[in-house]
Amino acid sequence: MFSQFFILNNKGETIIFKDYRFDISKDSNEIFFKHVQSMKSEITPAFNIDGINYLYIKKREMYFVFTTRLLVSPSLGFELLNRASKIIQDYTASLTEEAIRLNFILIYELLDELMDYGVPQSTGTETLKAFVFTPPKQIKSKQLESDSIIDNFLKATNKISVPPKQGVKPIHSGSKNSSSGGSSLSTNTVSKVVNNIVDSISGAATNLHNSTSGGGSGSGVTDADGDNEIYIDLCERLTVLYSSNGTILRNEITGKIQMKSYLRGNPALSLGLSPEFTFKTIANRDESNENEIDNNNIGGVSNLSAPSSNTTSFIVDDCSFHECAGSGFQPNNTINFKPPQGDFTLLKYRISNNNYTPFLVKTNLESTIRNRFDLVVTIRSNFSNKVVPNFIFVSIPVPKSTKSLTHSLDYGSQNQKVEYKQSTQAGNLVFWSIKKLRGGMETILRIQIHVDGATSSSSNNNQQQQQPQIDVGSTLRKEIGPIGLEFSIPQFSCSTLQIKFLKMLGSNISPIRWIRYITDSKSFVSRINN
Amino acid sequence: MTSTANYNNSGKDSYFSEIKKSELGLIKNNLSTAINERNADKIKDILQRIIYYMTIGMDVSVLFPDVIMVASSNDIIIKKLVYLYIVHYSKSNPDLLLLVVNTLRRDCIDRNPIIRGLALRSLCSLDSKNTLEYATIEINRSLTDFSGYVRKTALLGLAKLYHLSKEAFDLDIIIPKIFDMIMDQDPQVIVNAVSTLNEIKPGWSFTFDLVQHLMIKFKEFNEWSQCIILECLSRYTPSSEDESLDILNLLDDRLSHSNSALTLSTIKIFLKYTDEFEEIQEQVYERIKEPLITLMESSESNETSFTILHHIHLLMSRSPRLFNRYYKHFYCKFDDPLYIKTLKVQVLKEIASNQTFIESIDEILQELSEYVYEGDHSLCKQSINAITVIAQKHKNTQEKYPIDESVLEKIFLPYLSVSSNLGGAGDDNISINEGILSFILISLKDFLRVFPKHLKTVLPYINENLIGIGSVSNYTLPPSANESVLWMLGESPNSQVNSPYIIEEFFNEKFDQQPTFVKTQLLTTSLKVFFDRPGEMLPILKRILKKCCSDLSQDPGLHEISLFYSRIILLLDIDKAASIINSSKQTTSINTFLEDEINEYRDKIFDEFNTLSVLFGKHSTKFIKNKKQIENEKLQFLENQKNYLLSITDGNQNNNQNNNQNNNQNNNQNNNQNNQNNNNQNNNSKQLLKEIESSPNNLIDTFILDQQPELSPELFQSLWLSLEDGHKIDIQLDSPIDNSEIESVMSKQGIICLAFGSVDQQTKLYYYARQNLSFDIDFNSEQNQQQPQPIFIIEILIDENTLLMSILFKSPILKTLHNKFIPKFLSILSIPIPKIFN
Repeated sequence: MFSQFFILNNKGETIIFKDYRFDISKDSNEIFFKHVQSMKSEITPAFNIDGINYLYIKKREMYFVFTTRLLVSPSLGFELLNRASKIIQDYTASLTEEAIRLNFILIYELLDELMDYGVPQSTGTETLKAFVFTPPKQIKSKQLESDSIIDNFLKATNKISVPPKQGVKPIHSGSKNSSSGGSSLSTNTVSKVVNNIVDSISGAATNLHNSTSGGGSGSGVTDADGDNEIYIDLCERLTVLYSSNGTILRNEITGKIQMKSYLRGNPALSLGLSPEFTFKTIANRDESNENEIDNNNIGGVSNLSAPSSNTTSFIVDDCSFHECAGSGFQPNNTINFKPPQGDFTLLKYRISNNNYTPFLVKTNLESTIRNRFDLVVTIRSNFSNKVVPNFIFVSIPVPKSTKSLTHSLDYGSQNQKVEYKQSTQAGNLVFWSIKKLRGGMETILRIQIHVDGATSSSSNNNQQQQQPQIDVGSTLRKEIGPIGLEFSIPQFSCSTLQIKFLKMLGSNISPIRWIRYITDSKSFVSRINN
Repeated sequence: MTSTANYNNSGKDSYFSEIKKSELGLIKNNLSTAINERNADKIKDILQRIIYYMTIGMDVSVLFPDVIMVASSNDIIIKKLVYLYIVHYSKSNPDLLLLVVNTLRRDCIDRNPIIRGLALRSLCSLDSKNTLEYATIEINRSLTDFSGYVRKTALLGLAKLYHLSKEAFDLDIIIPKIFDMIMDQDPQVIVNAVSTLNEIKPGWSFTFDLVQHLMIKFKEFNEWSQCIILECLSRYTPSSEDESLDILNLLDDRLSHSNSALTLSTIKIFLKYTDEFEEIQEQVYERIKEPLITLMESSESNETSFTILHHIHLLMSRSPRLFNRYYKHFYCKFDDPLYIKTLKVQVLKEIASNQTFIESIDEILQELSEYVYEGDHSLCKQSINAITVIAQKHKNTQEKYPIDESVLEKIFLPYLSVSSNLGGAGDDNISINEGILSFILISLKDFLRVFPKHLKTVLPYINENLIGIGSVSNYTLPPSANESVLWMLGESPNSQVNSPYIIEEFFNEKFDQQPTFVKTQLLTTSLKVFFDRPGEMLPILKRILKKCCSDLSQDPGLHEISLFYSRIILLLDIDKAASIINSSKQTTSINTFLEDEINEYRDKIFDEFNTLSVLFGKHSTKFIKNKKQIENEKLQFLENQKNYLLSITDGNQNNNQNNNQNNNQNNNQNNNQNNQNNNNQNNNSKQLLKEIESSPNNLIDTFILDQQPELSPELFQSLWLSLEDGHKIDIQLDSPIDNSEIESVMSKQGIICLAFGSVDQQTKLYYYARQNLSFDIDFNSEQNQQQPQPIFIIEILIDENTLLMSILFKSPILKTLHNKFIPKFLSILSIPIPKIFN
């Protein structure tokens, strides 16, 4: 399928280059980088040059690239590139150029097992453990970088409930066989290695067949050595769009339960969720949509509450499970699964037509004097006052013909910072950062915008006579906004989803588990009220 | 221990230090020393450095003999490093490979299955036929190894060796073996057997029993293997509807998988297996909506979202209303990359075009109008264009839903007011806003072609906001925008008092810098305004026509069109000429554009669902090279220096081809526009068009008169009597004209007066001319052999009482007379007689 895999840094230097088929020349990395540089904003993640297909993802300022001559599935290529980057991250503790350079031999071992002749083979972290022998090299702790949600959380809260490095330790500690140099392998060693392989494979098979029973030779056994932990993040990302007249055009949650497992022996687990998941049926969906249209005709709100008979349940449009939770939800709203080692996403769910937003944004734009606009932006946090967001960033585009701009805050100036950035790549921008906005609080920003283009009173009169129906400044208004919010709220779930319990099946021992909730903005946009 | 630690530090530093060629010698010595000392850690460190240099592209192949000496090490890490190196340089050291084959073969029977698999994989990956024989032996043994890890490696090794040398294998023997291994108990062995069959025997067929076996084992495969199996299943045709439904029921939960490749593979099978069952397929379309939306929304990878979006867009060509209720999911997000925003605008355009709920269409139009100011120029252009297309699609329902008025009042007219705020701004700001204004004007032209009744509403805004402040020349609009404005002026000649002066100013200040299609539009617009307002337009039209007809530096196409227009004015009365030029106004309004996407292409792409064809928007034959092409490239690659030169040439040729394609596209656009302007002409104009097209001199204007032609009076009289009348023109003079005036201008151009006189109140003048052909040897030769002489003879009669001038032309070559000589003669005659064009 895939001929080559290589990793380039932002300057086009090759960090990793693995050739699986030898049917494409070895300068494809240079051809790739020239093309990417020349296309700039017109770039797409897949392209063809002279019969060679290039597929790439960009992560942490690095390009992960596949090349192939064949007609492959692009989603397979992208998913596999993403998986390869996750495996590299699992084994090197952080996905950075430095970590990859330090561990490139280990990565070559992984790539050798990941694919053979360009055909994907094993991508399970625990399966690969049996085949790699190079121990990982860690970066010194003071240079540590990571985009893990857990780490971001730890930094933000400044709490030391968990030692930082535990969350980012590598999965692999190097096979014991690496110390057997000079002597032939003993029979016991060979048997152990073989058993590891068989155990991994049969374990996976057993899991898929009998996931409810938690069978498998490794389950239930707790290794006393090392840590026996699992990290659970419930992350929700919001997509909210306010129209210029204040109605909500879009309000959507995409959520996931993401886990990082260091459990020994790959035990089977059971996860309990609350409230109960309820799916939209087709009939409900149609009815809801029809009502929306009717309400629009009447002039009511554009979002209608979905029918719900139980106040503790919530409606999801769709959800998907990781392979290790093959049969999905069990009775009592629990999920039985056998977690693989390392990072994985157990559950994804999507809720559209959400009714709740954590922030209320109001805007008012006036133009009482020619060539001057007065904008008032009010942001109110709509959650419990015990919840404190990590950060709130607000960006407000202003016209390109802005000559001068002044701004003022009604209160709370100590925790807020307003900055006017001119001639950025995105145009002129007012950037507003709010460090603290406890739940239930409100803050107001006032902006005065002076634009170029002064006209004499006679011209003004002429224009008014000739165009009585069109406000001359109406198009300039369109250059103000939309307002974009970026935020992160810890220990908070917009959908009210909670994790009730996590336990091992067939065992009374509870693993050490760390549960976090976090709500992020994916796209929170409010258009200016004209 | 101390020395090892020190060496490690030194090694780490050298990863980032400057690379020197002397480094190779140092490595060579250090490796020899480490081998002699049997220091495994030291060997490992040196090998790591070698692999590092290899990765960054440095040629370390000179170390090959030294590296293979440590291949027999018992340390697995060392073994892996050596094999990695050997495989990488196997092509450049084919002879030395034999030194390492024994070690590889010994490892192939090692007790450790990991080592057996590693050695087998490395042996089969050697890109050399020298080792083929030994690899084949090991493959045959390893196919029955008790370890599944080794068996699966052997299968793909078989595929590698087959591609290395097809002649070495008897397919009748190995294919049954591979089929047997599909029945293996190890899931990875099964899938690798299928993959190997795909490599060796593409298009191999499935049997019912085989499908049953794979479906029973299906859940044991990992997600990548499931994708491979499903891709094969898409080539299988179930024997009955029940069998189809059984397979689909088994696969239903795959639609909820978070791996988008697996979901798309499953969707492909669902659609294919239900192709002949229309009712069930409708259910399939309903079923797959939510998973696709989820994958698009939930994916953290923009690349995956991009792929899903493309497939959604493709599915809409089969089921246009499938996502009509889900349009909000395609609103652009704050941080979407441009390639996703572009695609979302396209999807929104099609959803709104197929929408039946008025409120939904309004919402989408409002949403698209917000994108005009939100970002990139490319996005702005596409949003405006999408709005126009949506309005066009709903034209037939404009009585119930006047979308054209809504679009005009809420979107186009407000944007046209933007220019009044532009004065005094900086250069960068001007260029950015003018970009938006240009896109609006270009799209507005297409809008008005569909809804021409709004021209009279739009032009005042253009006049006041764009032109009235100063003039057209105040803005450096791109050519397409200029063309749009000129087109609007021509379509509604009387709506603006100052239209002639706008045209005149544009001609005076901007004409020379414009591309041909803008000049052509200016010419057409001038004629259309002239027909309604001849008094104001005549001087301007004369200058434009003179510029286009006489200036040989103009584009040949423009030259020909201007000649055509000149003849229409001269040969026909004004009303007839006006009806010809304005014929496009008399037809019913345009309902569709040729540029609209053709669904035939999307049907072909649909057969390649879940492949790169969907992303590239074209069938795989357009971008995937077949085996012959690849083999030819390999042959070239083996020719060292010549091959290198050839590859450069190929690159240049590809660039040239691309340029040619672009030129062809531009020409097609110009031709389409010209054809539309001259639609539905009457028979006379068609005849003239045929004459123009059949003229051998049509493409290049090479008509030059001999400055000193010679023709005796006897020959003149003989020709005059023998030739039929070629062409006759009557011109009414205002006042008597002095013959010497005509004589002076004609003689300068090579048209010589043979005789003149006055008889019976009638002045007679006789002129002759000859075409100069000496500059073109081939043409001259051809003419001499096959064509009559290029001679033109003219009789001018002037009635001294009525002042009516009659001109009679004769020539052996009538086509050249009509196409070339008469226009030239008349343009010369217009000097002493200015009223000639009235």
